[in-house]
Parts: sequence; C-alpha cells; structure tokens
Amino acid sequence: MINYLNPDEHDLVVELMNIGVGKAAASLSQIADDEVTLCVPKLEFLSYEEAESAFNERLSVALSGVSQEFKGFIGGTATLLFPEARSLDLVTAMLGEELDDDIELDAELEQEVLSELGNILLNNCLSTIANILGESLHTDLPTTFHIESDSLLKHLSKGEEPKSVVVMLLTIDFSLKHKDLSGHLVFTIDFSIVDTFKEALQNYLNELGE
Amino acid sequence: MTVKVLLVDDSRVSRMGLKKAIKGVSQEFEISEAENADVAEAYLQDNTADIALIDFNMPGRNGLELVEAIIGQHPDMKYVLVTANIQTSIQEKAKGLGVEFVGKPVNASQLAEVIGGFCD
Repeated sequence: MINYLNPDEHDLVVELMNIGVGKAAASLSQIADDEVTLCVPKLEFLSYEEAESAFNERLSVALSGVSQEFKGFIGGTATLLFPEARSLDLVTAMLGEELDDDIELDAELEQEVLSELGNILLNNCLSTIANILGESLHTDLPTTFHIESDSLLKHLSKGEEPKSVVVMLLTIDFSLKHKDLSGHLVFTIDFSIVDTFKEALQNYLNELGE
Repeated sequence: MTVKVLLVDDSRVSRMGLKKAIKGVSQEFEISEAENADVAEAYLQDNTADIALIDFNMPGRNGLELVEAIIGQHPDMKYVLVTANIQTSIQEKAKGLGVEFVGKPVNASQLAEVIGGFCD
C-alpha cells in the first residue's frame, strides 16, 4: 500500500471526512428519525487489485448503491452502499409517514428514494469538506445501481485501466440505532489531479500554523 | 387567500417530502410541480406563482440558471433554492441573485420561516 499523503495531510483528510460525514449523519438522522452511529473513518490508498479484494472481503455480496461523481480541487466518486436485501427496509425507513396508502412501494420509487438519499448525504458531506477548505466542487447527479461486490470497483472506476487506478478508499460504516440498518460510504479519488488536492490540504494546514 | 407554490425538483421523492412539509405549514398553499428547469419555465409562460422552491442539481439547467432565465419576467415571485449542495459558493451565488437558501433535508421550522409569511 502506497501513501500519497504525509501524516498531517492524512490526519486532516480523516478529520475532514469525520466532519463531512457527521453532517451527513445528522441529515440521515433527521430523515429516518433515528440515531445514527458512525464508525471512525478508515483511510487507505490501494491499487486496483487491493481495492477489489477489500470490497470482496468487507462488503455484502449483493449491494444497492447510489454514487455521485465530483470534480474540482479533487475529483472522484462518492458512493453510498447498503446490503441489497435491506434496500426496501431502508426505503420504508426513509419515507416513513410520507408513504401514503395510494403510493405503491415499487422498484421505481425505491430507486428514487435511494437517489435522493444519496443526493442529500453525499452532497452534504462533499459540500462541508469543500466549505472547510475554502474550495468549490461540482457534483453530478446521483446514479443508483444494484451490483455484486466483485463488480463494484469496475463500476466505480468507469472501466479505466486497472494499472492507472489508485483508490483513496475512505470507508465509514454507519448504522441506524433502532432500525437494524447499516451501510457504507466509500470515496474513490481520481489521482490524476492529486496535486490540487494536496495543495488545498497544505493551504489549510499552513493557515492553522500561522 | 390561496398562495401558489411552484416546486422545481427532479426527484419525485423530494417533491413528495416538500409537499407534505408545505401542507404542514398551511393548507392555503396551492402546489404545482415541475421536474426540471425547462418544464418550470414552460409552466410559467401561462401561469404564475407566489413562491418557487427550486432544487440546484437537476438534469439540464441548474436551479440558479433557471432563476436567471425567469426572474426578469417574474420579478415579484419569491425564489428559494432548496438543495443538499450546501457549499458556500452556491449560497453566495444564490444570495447575489436575491434567492433565499434552504439546505436539504428541509426541516419544518425552516420551511415555515421561509414560506409562512405568505399566510399572514
């Protein structure tokens, strides 16, 4: 495993993600009307092969997800993942009392709920990080998918050559306290623009040191 | 008095949530919906609204591009950007256009503050 960040930069990324995901968790808690428990973020830099085996080892085989690409001082894909078997439970938890009798809980609505949930959580997280660093990001529209864990990396890396892919894998597991639901947030970063990312981190660290 | 609200958001789920929240503020609101900027602009060719609640990230034009396109013809309408994209840069752009900003997920008290004045 290669480390592209020095210890201070590494620490800052974990802290930024803590804050960003904290904001997203507050939003999830509001939507689901439940307490959200977060694990400490784990930040790793992995080759394509290492990331592939990490996904296979740590994630459920069948997954439902929503991902959102982002570009700016940092580029990549942010992904929210849930075990596919619990996807409908998640939708019910999200819609709660908004699920009127005349609205059928079908696959289309499930996709729309996942999409909007991803939109809120991923955007909240990414926006909070950009705000702290005084940078701006463009985020694309969310896309939902159902996938097996062994195909996830291929899906997220958009078919790029495995050798050119470095995955900054930031994994944060979360769960809803009273609804027996848990999921993962995964960020994969495009390292062709890593210089601007490091520059933003250094600017922030320099300001702290002044 | 009926207050006309136009919701512009590509997410049906988001529109469902907003409609419920608006009805929670008052039953006096008459709500119309558009799933993107083009549909909203076409709607406003033949109709009016007192308030427009507009998402930022949508297929095609974003919410602020929509405001720029319609504000000349509808200067008296109240514009509110309702988005999960809570970046400072977006909030500042909205402010520059005279658009209020509400971050998603929307809570009832925030929404009441923004649109409740129309019911007085």
